[in-house]
Amino acid sequence: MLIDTPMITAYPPRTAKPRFLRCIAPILAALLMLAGCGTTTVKSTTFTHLEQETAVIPESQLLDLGVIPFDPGLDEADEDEMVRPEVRNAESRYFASQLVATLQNSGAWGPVRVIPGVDTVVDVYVEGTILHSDGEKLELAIVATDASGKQWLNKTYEEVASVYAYDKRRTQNRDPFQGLFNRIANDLRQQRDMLPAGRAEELRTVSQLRFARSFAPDAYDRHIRENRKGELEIVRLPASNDPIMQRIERIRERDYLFVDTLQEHYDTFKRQMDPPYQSWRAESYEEVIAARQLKKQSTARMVGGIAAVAGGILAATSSNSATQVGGIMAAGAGGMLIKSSLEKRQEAQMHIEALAELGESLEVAIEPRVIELEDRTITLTGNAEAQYAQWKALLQQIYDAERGIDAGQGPAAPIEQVQ
Amino acid sequence: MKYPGISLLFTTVVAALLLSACETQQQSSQSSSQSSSQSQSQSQSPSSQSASDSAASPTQSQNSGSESAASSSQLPSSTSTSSPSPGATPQAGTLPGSDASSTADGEEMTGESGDRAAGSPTTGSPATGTTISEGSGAPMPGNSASTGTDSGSGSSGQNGAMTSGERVEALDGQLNESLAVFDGMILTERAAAQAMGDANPAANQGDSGAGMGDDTGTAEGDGAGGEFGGPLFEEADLGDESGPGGPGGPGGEDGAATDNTVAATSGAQGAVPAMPGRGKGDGTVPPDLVDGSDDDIVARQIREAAMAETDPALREKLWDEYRKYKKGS
Repeated sequence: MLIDTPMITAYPPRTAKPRFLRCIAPILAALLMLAGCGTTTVKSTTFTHLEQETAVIPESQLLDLGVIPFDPGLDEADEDEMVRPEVRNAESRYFASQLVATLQNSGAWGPVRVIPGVDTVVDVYVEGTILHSDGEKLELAIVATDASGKQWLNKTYEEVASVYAYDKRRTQNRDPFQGLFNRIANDLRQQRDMLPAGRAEELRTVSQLRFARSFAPDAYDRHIRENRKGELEIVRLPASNDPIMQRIERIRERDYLFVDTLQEHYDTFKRQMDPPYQSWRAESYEEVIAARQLKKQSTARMVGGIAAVAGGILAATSSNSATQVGGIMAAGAGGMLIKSSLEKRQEAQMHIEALAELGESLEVAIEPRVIELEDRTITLTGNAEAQYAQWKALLQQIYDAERGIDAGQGPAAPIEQVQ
Repeated sequence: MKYPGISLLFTTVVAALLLSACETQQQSSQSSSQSSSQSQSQSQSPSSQSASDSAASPTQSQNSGSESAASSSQLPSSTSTSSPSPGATPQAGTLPGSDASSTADGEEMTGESGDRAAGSPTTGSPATGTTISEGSGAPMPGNSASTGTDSGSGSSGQNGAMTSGERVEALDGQLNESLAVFDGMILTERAAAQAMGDANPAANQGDSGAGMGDDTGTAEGDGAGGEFGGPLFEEADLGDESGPGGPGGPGGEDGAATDNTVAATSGAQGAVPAMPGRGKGDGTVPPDLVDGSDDDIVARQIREAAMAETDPALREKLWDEYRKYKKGS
């Protein structure tokens, strides 16, 4: 008996290639769209205003503040950033002067000055490191400590300039990154407002005793000590009619004069650097944005092109003629995208070279100013330090004489004057 | 007596001879005693550093006082050394140069600082002059700083070691001199800073263009704003204060002196820096090129060069180049 079996037509097995192509198609489309997209520019006009002190602060509570020239951050800079060392060195002084001016405008402090280093005794120290600086973005790491060694602030500030930052009609000649410095000043003022009662006076006394100790260690070494936290605290106060302290106060006035004179040099330097530096910022802003946009476009097109070519090759191996045609077209489009990507990369490189030229021209403009500033400050600081060493020796002799030490041994050898 | 006249004559001659011989012996004994006294006084004066020597020297000087007085005309230096006199004459004789130098230095410092030396009550030369005039064996602190060699021997030669008060006074004099010198140096530096600021008018022009303060505009203190004429601060204010006895003490002192210092030296905070004229040229800008706010670096440099140019023909050429560059860009 014959059993009818249905005819089974052997069809070739289904392959995964069409499914694969259906999966990568939307991806290809997205990449192609991405390749055509541009970058966004910051158009926000948000600006942090400086909070100015309105209350009258008693003179005994006014803290003087010293800003040390910032660390140029050359060691932390990436190779892609095209950091110009001379520009960074100049910016380290420029930003310190700008912060000093901002803090002065807040009216919340006593004298605010750029100081050469932590050896200059003030009530509050501000140090900074330049992490990134170009016409578009400024990033600073700020650390603030008081005279006792307690840290007030350790924070990184970043600001991206908007497209309107360099439009003088809108900004009224304001610095493009003034908002960043205003934030620093506001945070410092906030920290000062959080001080407990009497702490400001205590800090002033600590700084005074630190200064006294640096000149007469035998007399004032036991007046302050370091606690377990590494912070200085007052152990005892000098007598109200302490003659050594009176002499030290006279010396400290000279120290203020020295710092004021240094500040004049920094102010002059900032004024000299301002015009070429602001021009560099404005033009580098355009170049940086253009270069970044072109780089992104280049990268996106390269990725899209490679994906299209790969998809086209895969499609071309399909048995379906339509798929083969689509694959060939995709491969062609991918090739064109790759070519476009290379062109974009070349354009970006042109902008990068323009940035380098701008940096070089700025270096040429400001390098003499930087050298002049360094020459004046180093000379003045060296003279002051030599004079301080003489005063320190004199005070030691006076201290010994007042206590009858070395009595009867005759006068000591005189100290030659530094002329 | 057969020949009485002859015997009388012989007797007279013999007596005269005897008398002359006696006088000769007396003179020789006197000269030998003078030489011995001189040698004693000279050996005592250089070695009177220690208290024992200083105690001995007055005794010896007293003992040899008669001889020294007698020989004063012959040995004025030893006499003046052995018998202490109000040290004006010898000290003035030995330290005129140093006195003059210290006086000259004081005058120089005064000239540089205007009223500053007057403001500081104990500068070098007045203290030195006072010390010299007082004399009486007191050391010469200011001169010791100037000469560097005579103070020890000069003071030791008078009454021995200085008292602690005298030593402190001497060191205070040195400190005052040193402070005055430092003040002069600071004033020189500030004048140099002001000169640097005035020498760059284009940089000063950038104050209004860049904006350094808040959005209200520049408010940076002008430290070089011609505040050099008057005294830097009043040192007398420090002496009037009660001292740093408490937390408010240093604040009061620092505040008064600091305020004076800041106000007198750095200029008032918030002062707008002066804007001198642009460059050396007349700074005229053609009417069609007034607005240079959109200049790039090259255009700005051409513009500044044109404004600073004094030659009219060259200035016109620079403005033409500026126009060409602006059109091309």
